[in-house]
Amino acid sequence: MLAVEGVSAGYGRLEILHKVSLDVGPGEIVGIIGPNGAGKSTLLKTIFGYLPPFEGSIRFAGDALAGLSPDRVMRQGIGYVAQAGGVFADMSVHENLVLGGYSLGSRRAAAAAIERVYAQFPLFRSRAHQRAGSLSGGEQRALAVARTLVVEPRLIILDEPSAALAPRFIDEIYATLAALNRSGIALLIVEQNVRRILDAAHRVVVLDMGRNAFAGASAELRQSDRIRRLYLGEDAG
Amino acid sequence: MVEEILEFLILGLVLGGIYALFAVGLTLIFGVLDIVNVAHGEFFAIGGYALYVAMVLLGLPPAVGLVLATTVVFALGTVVYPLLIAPLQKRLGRRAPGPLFLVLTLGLSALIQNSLLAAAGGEYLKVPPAVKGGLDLSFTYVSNQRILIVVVASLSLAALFLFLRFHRQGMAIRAVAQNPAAAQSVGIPLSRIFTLTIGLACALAGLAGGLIAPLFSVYPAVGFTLTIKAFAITILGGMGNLLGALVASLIIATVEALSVLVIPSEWQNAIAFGTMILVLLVRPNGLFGKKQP
Amino acid sequence: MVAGDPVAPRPSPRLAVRSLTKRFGGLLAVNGCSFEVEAGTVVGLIGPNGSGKSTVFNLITNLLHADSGSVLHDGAPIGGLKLHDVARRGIGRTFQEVKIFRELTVWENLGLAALGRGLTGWQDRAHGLLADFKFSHLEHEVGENLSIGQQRLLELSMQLLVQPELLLLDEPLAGVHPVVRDTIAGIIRDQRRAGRAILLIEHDMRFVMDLCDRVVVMDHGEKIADGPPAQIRADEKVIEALLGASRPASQGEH
Repeated sequence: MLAVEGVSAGYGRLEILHKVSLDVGPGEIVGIIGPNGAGKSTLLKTIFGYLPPFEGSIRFAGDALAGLSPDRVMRQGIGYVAQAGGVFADMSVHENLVLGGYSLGSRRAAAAAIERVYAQFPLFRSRAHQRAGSLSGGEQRALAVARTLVVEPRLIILDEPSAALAPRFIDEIYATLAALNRSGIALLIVEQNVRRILDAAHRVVVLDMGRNAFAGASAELRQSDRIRRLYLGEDAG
Repeated sequence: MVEEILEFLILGLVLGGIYALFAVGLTLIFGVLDIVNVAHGEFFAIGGYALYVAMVLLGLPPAVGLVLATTVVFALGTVVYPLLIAPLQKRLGRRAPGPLFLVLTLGLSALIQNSLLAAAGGEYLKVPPAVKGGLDLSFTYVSNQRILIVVVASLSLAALFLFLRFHRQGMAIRAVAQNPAAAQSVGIPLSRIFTLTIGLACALAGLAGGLIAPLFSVYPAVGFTLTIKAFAITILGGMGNLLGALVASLIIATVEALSVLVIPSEWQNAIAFGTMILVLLVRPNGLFGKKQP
Repeated sequence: MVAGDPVAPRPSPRLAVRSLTKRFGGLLAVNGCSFEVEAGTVVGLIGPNGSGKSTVFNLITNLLHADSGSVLHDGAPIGGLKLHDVARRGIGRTFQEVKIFRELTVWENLGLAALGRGLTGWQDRAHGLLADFKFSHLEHEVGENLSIGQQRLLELSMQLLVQPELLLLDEPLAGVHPVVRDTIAGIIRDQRRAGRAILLIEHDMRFVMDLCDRVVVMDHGEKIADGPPAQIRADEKVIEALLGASRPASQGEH
């Protein structure tokens, strides 16, 4: 469904990603891990269009994404949950969801979709008029996820969903993500927390210093030593 | 004494309406694009000129003239982003030096003023009031034109606030001001919002220009003093804060009007800046703090 | 290599950080952190994102003021010093986002570094450094036009030119080509041989484990380990911190 091939990207003269490839099949959960500086966030930003790639191709369901701006990429059916500060903090929960339906064209068209999201996330119905910035970290993260659901994406990209969250909020977010995946949505998740993503994902891709290091099914990687050796600098390369 | 004060308070309300139309637009551009539009006063001037053309040269009725003037300035405003700002942003991206766009709009300001001078000459053109007559209150006479200014300004600003609050595109504008990355992720096209924002802001300035034209006369540099004052007003209200700009406009206008009672009128323009400095000493982020459209 | 004049031995550790604490509003960024850097050693400071490493650096060099705790250089507290005074004490620092004078040439950059410390007769050493780093042909190139790796080497040369006794390096390898990484590793080894004390923050684990004499590991603002690389690698707490599944002990709910 999502095919990233040979993508190099960075900022100005600084190349952060070098010929990175990965793919996500329909309904899959794929994790991206790697030591700091590996370029994981940069990869997500490049796929979603915040950064133009220097080279390589990015295709979603056969359509080329490279070079499209994020507002065009999302219309292909991809949602994006940023690392932090993804909600419109000064707007209410309801307004956030209304904006989630922006691409549907009119507020009326989005109304039914928003109803559906409230049904999935009853918590937000009671908080509908609360200022989004006053929600807890976990709730804000959930709101960012809920917002992407208004337009029924086929793939959701998440940048460190567990970042700065207390453990029980991390449990909640991952439970939500698992439920979404069961309903058929594919997930591409960058994670700092290796244990979490090995539990949650079907497959994990490992990046190191801007390049593909290795990859495999989570079950395999959980047993193997490779990740620990990479993170602790024991690998010969 | 009380009557004098009341008279000047009414004047403050009228001026405040004009200042508010101007400053709210300026603040909107800053809040959404992070750009200080030094040419804002020129769109105000164009509004006056457009009304002159409509009413004096074309003989159109005042209401049509005002709507036409506002529409013309809106159209011109929508050209600024795609033609001037976008190409530079694209070329320079992150490496654009801070004051670049400020200098760009400064250049635009000079360009427009000189174009107006070349096209229309430098005389002070007279525009007849949209409505004649006035209201005879016991202590003073208020012209209907002034009442019109207050009414139109209030309705326009109310319409703007409602638009920003409830309309899909208005919400999109607020979203871009708050969090451009998240706005893009929900499908809001940044360049279209930037274009719309500048168009709307300039339209407000043009409307203000048309409304005050019968009182101020129309000439190329008519917007200059107002622009300078508006900088003080927007900082006073809190940069990027629309409600702040509105309130600060009324405060400055009222203080200016009342100050005529106590200080010579040549010092009028210093009022805005004096007030701004005093307030900033106590509240450095302005009355309402930063960025909350 | 032009490692500079060897450093005379001193009694106390070059750098001692004692119980540093720093809060940003509700966030406890650094919580009672203590460690030492001896002369002639390289100490690595590692930890996941948000662990407080960069904050510690900024506290040491007085870019930030600590809420409590102290920083001692050769036994003397340097907490209240202004930034240029910190530099004059022989403490050098490079930055995560490389800081050079972009509009000036390589030679002018070096000249400014020397000027800042009132050095005379620095030209020979500068030429030597340029030759060592194979930079001589870029002497008149403007900083803006150098590659990231070359900019980092220039930033490093500017520090080495004034021969600091204590060198703080903030992610010296970020964005740098593998070949230049080796050059930088070599430079650090030479400085260590000459008796300088070096503290560095890096994410490249291989680099850190190969090069450092000791590694200090931070997580959620606290020091969780301090020892030679082999010991750190085997430390369960470190593995947990780097690979996730760590719980913030003293943070409130988010």
